Amino acid sequence: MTSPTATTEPPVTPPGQSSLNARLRGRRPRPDGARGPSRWLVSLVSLLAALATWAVVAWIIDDNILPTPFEVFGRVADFIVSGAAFSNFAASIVKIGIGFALALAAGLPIGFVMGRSRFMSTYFSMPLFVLGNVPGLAYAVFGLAIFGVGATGPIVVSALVAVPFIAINVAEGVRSVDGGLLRMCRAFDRRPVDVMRHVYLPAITAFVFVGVRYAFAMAWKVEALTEVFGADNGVGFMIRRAYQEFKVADMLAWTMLFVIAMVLIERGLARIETRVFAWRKELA
Amino acid sequence: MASIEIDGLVKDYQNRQGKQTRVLDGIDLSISGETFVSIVGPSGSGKTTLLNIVSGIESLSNGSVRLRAGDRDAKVGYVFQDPRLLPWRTVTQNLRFVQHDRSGWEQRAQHYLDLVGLGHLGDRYPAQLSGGQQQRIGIARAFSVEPDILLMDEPFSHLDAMTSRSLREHLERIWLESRRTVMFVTHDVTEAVQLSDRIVVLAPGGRIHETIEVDLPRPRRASDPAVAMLQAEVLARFEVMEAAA
Ligand SMILES: Nc1ncnc2c1ncn2[C@@H]1O[C@H](COP(=O)(O)OP(=O)(O)OP(=O)(O)O)[C@@H](O)[C@H]1O
Ligand SMILES: [Mg+2]
Repeated sequence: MTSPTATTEPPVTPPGQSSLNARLRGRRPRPDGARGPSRWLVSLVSLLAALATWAVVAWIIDDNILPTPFEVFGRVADFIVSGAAFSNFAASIVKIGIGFALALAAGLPIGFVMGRSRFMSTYFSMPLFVLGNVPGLAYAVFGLAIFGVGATGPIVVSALVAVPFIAINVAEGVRSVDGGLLRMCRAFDRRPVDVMRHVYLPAITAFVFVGVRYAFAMAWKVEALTEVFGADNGVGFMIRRAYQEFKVADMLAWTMLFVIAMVLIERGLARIETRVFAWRKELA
Repeated sequence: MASIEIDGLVKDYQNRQGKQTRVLDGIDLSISGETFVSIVGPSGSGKTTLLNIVSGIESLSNGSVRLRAGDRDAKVGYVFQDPRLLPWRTVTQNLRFVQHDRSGWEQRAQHYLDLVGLGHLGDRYPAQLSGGQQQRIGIARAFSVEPDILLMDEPFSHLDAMTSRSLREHLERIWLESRRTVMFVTHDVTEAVQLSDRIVVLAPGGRIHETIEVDLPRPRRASDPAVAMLQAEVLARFEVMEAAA
């Protein structure tokens, strides 16, 4: 009766779902020390080179269609100073947050029963597969068609986008729970509530985190797209308005803010993850 | 005083095709008081199954098992072949998790961690401990619930010879200090002789082959001639049984 303590393994990425960001970041273990700063330096050089190329191309074209980086940065600064950046990001993030809360409320129980029962796993796999593979544009259009302009469309859309990621990862987490630990709980006569809280939940948390991070990257994009079609505030809405008024610099500025926000939030999640999973850390 | 009463215990496993295999075939065993009983037997003879049934992890097909402590149900502690610690909880939190009685658990946890020599590692996570240290935490955990009955399933078999010898000594010392009814599964006859008051030999097919009383003074050292002699004798009988099977 030797059972591997599979629970200590990091969660797997669900098949067919990968995050470009995570792969670009190259999360391979790297030898500590000297390599850290040099990576930063290379990234910085690459960024500067891109900006320089942009500046040169804009200078050659010399047309409204492509503003210079300085104009765009100027607009970014304007949006930040005027507070428009914060109010619109807040609007988008609140919608995503509510959508995520709904997705967790649905995804946790669905994932749990999927992890426990083969029947449930088969039962839910098709609808989740469909949800996970509907193109973002279709979500955006349906969101507008069904809910009209307003907050409901983006909220529902981000919930629908996130549910499959969360459910599949929770199911994986439940399956990963070591049978040996469950038998240990029985031998020591632990109550089901305690088993849920101290065995299932921690085992699932690691997987939920992965699901949330992937789901977030997806939901964030689809939500912005939905805002383009049917919203009265938010980042996507601002991009569309800039487009209608043919303010290319504003469009690029919002896009830039969007990317920056996305990176910051992803980093934030990664940091929380490291803290929550202190138990995985090797002996210091 | 705690007791284990096993009467006519039968365990059948059913495979996918519905075919039954008998794993335990009419076990009668009565253990009472602060006795250290070892169950030895070849691989597959049903030792783990027996412990799992006694602990309530598995159901039985026939017969009965009764665990009593005075006039109430006995409290059980279990040391597994592998540590089975919650990886996301510190050592101390792992001990806390199994407590029925939360009052004074901190002192109890500290006491038994000290006894296994790991009192200073309470804040570590299991991944930050060596295999031998994790196993010792498993032992401390089982003792820390102050069980009436302690079940142990080859707790040292995954460890190297040196570690397991030192843990055996640890175990005997803790047991002498905090005696309780013990069922200790091993396939190592010398280990059984060193630790037990009684050795129950399971034969392949899940019957009791014989029961050997060990009446040697404690603490016992593996190098003690009396211990070594009895070890040789039991080993010889064991080999006869295996040859007959
Ligand atoms: N869940 C199960 N379903 C079917 N058969 C089982 C199951 N668990 C154990 N067995 C069978 O029961 C028999 C006894 O198993 P058990 O694990 O009790 O042996 P053991 O004496 O502990 O052996 P070892 O020394 O190798 O640990 C074996 O033949 C095994 O194949
Ligand atoms: Mg066994």
